[in-house]
Amino acid sequence: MELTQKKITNLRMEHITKRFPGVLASDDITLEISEGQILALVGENGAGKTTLMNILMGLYQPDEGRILINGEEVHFRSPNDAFAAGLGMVHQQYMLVANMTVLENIALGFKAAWSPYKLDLGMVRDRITEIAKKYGLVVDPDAYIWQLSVGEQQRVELVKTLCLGARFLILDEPTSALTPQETDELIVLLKNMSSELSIIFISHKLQEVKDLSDKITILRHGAVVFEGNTHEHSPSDIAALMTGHEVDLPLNEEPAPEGVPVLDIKNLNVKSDRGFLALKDLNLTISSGEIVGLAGVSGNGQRELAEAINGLRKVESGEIQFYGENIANKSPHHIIEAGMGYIPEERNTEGIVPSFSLKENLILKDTEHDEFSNHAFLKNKAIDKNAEDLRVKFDIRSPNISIAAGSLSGGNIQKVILAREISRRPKFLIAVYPIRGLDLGAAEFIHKQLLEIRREGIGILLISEELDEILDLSDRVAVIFKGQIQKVLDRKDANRRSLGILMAGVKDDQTV
Amino acid sequence: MNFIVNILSLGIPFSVALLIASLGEMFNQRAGVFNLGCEGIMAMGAFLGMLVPYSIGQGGPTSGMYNVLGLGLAMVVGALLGIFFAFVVVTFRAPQGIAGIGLQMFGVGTAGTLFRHFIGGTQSVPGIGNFPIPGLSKIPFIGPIFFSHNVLVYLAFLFVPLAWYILFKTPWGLRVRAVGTNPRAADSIGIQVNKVRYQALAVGGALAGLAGAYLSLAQVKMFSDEIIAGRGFIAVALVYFGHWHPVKIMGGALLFSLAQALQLAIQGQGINFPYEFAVMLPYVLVIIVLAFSRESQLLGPTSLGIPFNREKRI
Repeated sequence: MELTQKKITNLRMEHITKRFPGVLASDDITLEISEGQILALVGENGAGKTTLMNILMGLYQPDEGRILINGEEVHFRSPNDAFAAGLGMVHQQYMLVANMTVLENIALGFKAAWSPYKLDLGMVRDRITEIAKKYGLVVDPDAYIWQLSVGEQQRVELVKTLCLGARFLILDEPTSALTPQETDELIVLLKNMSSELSIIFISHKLQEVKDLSDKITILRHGAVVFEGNTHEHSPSDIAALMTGHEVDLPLNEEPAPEGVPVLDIKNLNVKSDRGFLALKDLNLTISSGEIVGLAGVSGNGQRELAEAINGLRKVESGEIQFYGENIANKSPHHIIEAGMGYIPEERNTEGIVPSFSLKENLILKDTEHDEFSNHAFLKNKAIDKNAEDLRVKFDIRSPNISIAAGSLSGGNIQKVILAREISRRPKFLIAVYPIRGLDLGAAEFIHKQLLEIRREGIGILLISEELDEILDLSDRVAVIFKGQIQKVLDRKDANRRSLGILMAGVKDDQTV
Repeated sequence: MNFIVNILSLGIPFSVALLIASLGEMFNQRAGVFNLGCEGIMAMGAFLGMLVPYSIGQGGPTSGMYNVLGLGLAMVVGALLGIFFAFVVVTFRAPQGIAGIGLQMFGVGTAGTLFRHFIGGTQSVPGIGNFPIPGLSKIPFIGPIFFSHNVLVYLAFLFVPLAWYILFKTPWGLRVRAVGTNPRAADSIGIQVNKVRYQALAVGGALAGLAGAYLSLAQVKMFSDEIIAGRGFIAVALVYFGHWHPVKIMGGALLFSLAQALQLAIQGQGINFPYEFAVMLPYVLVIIVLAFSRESQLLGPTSLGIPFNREKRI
């Protein structure tokens, strides 16, 4: 790989336009960044931030526009060209090969270590040590990627990008999967690095934009709507520019309900896909009419808990009492009929059948009920009416009710799932990451709906990594760590700091 | 004791066609493409492998050179068929299962047609003779089992460590594993995903061609329409069975072949046992083992069967 060691003193993207079938992803975007600067690229989901950066990295070709480095026009036909110019990107979905070691993952891009018949892993190892020393980034070169936590994987991504000679970093939502503590560490690290590098980082978390960036560019619907210096604007200004209107996410401000316990989990043990115990003697009780937020870094048993309650994962031992019936190891059908509602983590694969139409997805759980079926035949009129009603009530934006559900945007897919689950009048609801990846508008709507059914006396288990979401909605907060409930806090005792410490595995009687 | 030596010394050469073909298929699958057309490429390899010594060396004693030419031709055409398959499933992103079945029918049918045109009836070739290794082959038990075979048998087993080295210790092997597991990651770091898949399919095709030629030149020493007898499909299954690892794949190939040698021996002993069931034995065994072997998701190519499209939005 020919690396030019020349500094990047100025990078400019001019009039970039990129069209995907049916979408104008980038609309005449111009932006500029100079040496040592940190530029925050801000916008809601689908605003075109990632597309723009993929164009900069040579992964996509722009339909119009040009890129200039130090005033000279460059053409990146593939990521190789962008690397050669000194650019490096840490993608939102980490670009690591799970069944290879850290060393091998970095060797994959480290062409100096490639001789035809042998891979010089020693050379890669030396380079990793050098980078680790220079920036204070410690990684274990011999660990397999699948063994690492999300935070560690991100460090591997950073080391990889730096090892490959990046002098200009692009970070796509670098904090989206980190704990609050990890986020703070990353921000300190990036601030230090910015003395030697230029950084563009994509985010929709306003606090870190304020903490980290010098300049800010806001995108909406693929176009630049605002550019300016970060210190001149408050987070609420930025939020308003991002969404086009002021957004206040709804808060649960009502007094704690006096419900009766309806979901009572006792000594639950459940295995993960890899065969070890993901939940160890977990206990949790939730009453009617309350929202219990389950806070924790993903991978601490949240998925297994949701699946076990819904009959999708075998329970090794323990009980799940649901309205007086033990539903552990019952079939999903039985549990659904008992009144359990479920908003699953993977909305595209578990929440809907993407190739089925909108109206079909809305009745997936009721195909046997008299309301929609008459012996062996579906009642199409009732199904159509149901879909039309729910489309209006839940503000599902789609051209018609026969469109394939998979072609809708993430926010609308989530509304379809929510509409189906709520309209079935469940006795309880489990919502897993209900607003993950959604823009503020859709998030606001979904939170309002959750609070609405809480008022009707339905208990909700809200599983989320977003502390703001948990703090906004919950009556009580349970913190999960390594398959056990660390502690259950009342809303008044829960704050970002106390939860962050518990999520990191520290019991509150220990000092940090 | 003699019975066991017989089974082992028969089973080992039986395993060679499977071993070579499944090592080739392993490279395909490690790169993220499964090639069900393996059977078809093997059929073409079997026909072309014997065509050269048959047509050039007809009548006279076949010299070793013609055999080598036959094996070479089988590998070259096998590689070309692999590239053709890549053109269909990598460039045009056709569904791999259907395209593979198409290639299988194309290969088997073409081989049979060409055979009737150029050779006609049942014709045998002298083929590749055994080459007992001096000294070693005289050792009791060990000698006849391991050191009294044709050269390709020894070579095939040398392929196992070689394939392991290529897959785990060379830059190309690293690229192959990366594009089969996380092509987006490979792409983002500057690996040309489709190019690596083409290369892997060419290697896989060449090995499948060689495996076919081994059957017609060294094992059966003639060609017939049924010469491959499902070995191409067994090879695909063995790759799953062996969790994409050369040594485990070798284990699978041996297991299947020894079962086959056992059933032949049972028939040969004149034991009163319906031969139809004996013939089924190896296949039933593979099904049973496959059903009980746990899929290793952590190690295998997780993007197997999925065409790569950089601009497809997630």
